[in-house]
Amino acid sequence: MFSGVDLTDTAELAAYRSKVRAWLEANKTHAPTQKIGVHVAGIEPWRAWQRRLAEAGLVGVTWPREHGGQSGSMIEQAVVNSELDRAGVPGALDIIGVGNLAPTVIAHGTEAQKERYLRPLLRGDEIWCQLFSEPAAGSDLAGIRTRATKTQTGWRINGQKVWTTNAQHAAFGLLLTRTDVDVPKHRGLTMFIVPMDAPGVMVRPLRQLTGVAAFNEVFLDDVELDDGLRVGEPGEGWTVALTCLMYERLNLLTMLDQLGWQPEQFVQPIKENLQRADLRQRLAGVIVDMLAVRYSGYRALSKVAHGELPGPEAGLGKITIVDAATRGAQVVAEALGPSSLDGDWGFLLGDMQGLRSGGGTDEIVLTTIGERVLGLPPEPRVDKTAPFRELAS
Amino acid sequence: MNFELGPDERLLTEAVREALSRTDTLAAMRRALDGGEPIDLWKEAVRGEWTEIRDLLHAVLVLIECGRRLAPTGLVGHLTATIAILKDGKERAAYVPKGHHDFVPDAAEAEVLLVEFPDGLRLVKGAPVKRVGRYDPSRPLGSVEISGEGTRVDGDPRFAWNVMQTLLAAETLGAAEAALELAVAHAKQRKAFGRAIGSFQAIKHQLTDLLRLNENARSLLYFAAYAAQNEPQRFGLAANAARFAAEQAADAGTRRNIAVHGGLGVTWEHDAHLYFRRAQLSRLLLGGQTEAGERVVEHVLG
Repeated sequence: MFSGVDLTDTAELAAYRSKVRAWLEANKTHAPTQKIGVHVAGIEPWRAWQRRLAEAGLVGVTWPREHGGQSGSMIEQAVVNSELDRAGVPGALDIIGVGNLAPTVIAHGTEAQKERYLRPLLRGDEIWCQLFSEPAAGSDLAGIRTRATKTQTGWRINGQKVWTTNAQHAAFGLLLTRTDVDVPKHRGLTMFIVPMDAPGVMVRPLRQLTGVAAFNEVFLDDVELDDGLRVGEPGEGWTVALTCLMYERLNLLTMLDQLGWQPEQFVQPIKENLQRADLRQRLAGVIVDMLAVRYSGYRALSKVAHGELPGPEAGLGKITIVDAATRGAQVVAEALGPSSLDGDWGFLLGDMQGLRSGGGTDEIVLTTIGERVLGLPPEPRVDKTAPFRELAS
Repeated sequence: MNFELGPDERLLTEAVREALSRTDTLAAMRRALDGGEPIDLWKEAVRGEWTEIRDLLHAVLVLIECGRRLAPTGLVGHLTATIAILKDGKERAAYVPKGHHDFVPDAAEAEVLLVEFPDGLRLVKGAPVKRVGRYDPSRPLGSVEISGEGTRVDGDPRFAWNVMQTLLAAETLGAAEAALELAVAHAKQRKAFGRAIGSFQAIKHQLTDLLRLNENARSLLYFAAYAAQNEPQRFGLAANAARFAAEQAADAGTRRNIAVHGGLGVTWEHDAHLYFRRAQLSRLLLGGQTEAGERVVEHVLG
């Protein structure tokens, strides 16, 4: 008996897959035709597509039924995503909201919040953004400085967020703030929902080295929030943020077909230009890495399917894929010549340099996994026990 | 869908680890480097019934453990021949691919050689084999002198090649994983500047990056085991990718292991150089990492 690794569908999953495939076949003419990326300017066709997908039960598959989801498994979500990829159409517009932010609200929010926010988010009627990183706090996320101070009716917010994808389209943001500077930094944080049209919220696009403005700066200037917008208890913001980051890792695992670039993508454009042995060797390294990320992803997804949480080691895949895509674009550029940089390959090459830091720098990923998985001792730190007030300068 | 090891596989790994721990294989390798007789753990493999494994994933798991201990079991050659072609073959076998008669894994000890000729496969007995590979005596390698004799056997030599690449990759990964374990253990207990050196990012990041390389190779080995059974048209891609990744991981891992140990790592008494030798010779065998890379590209070109 073959008890080991197996990527074939069970009978139920195969039935689910063919149902999804048939629906996509019948509906894919409604999908947006413009070039697909996380960052697009004209979002309305994509928003309509998300609504259609949501009505068919193909968005937020793992969400509980009571909130409009299917109470499905991660594997089913992965099946939906791979069928979307196969059909050549995009999935939901607001993957950050659907995948990471809403599940965080489901885990830590009040009943009233779930009732109010989840269904419009699922349908794409209201897009969300994640307001965590700041100019002075990225890898050291718990070092954020945006302040929330108590008022008579709620909270007043002052500070600045940055690298915020979709802020220009968003109706709401999940906002990490500091509410207490007299306790160590991880304990003085509180999470809020902020309406992006609230007075005092200003969004400014940030143009990147690719030339495209994919993300934004968000300024918060005396923004007044009702206490009903708080997610989790005051001081529990770090736990809420970790939930969100855990879902980010989980969701990446369901998107292996979309995110793991296909090796063919780097081979086909240069198949007539591979006379040089050194280029072939470098290309082999790129292909091997891309395959490795995909099959490592299946391993992690299997763990999740067995009820385990995805470990921090899932982050290693991002290091591999960014490095491999960079090397792959360079190989292609070498084979095709300098003019290739003026087009897609130059864009990809630049884009990867941003992704190297996005969602956790290589360095913070290596530190975290070195400590949690290999059990290497932490660096001596002064910031874990001292009140935040004494650290901020 | 399942792409992680289950209880059966973990049990098998434990059993092999336990059985191999009864022999000090590293001390034996060091003695062999000094001119002593190399050991041979074939009997241990027979006792554990590893020689009868025909499931490629199980063979991979056994060879990872053999690689971890640098244990010479004869299994790369034997399991290549039996899994790919001979199926119920009982004699100790080794596989000799076309054009690779030098440095053939496990050929010197085999009772029977399965040889790939331009016109097909033949079983050959009594061919002269010289033991080679003094650089790493923990892995039995033979230089084979082939005459045209032998009994014809049906089978697909390309499939056999891919099985062999997979098994070599598994054995190499075992060495890479062992080297990382040594390095991590040292980095946790060795103090410098008042703290364990593993707390310094310069060390921590290097070691975690090795974990990345090892896990990548392991995932590709599972892919190869899966493809052999379920996606035969992708088996060649998977096997050669696994080989490429494993050699890369072992080269990096065994060198960094020496470096993390500082001066200690370059002494004869320390085990670090044993793993380093294994990696350096391994990456040259049967076309090595380079030919594996060539084949990976060929497969994607289609």
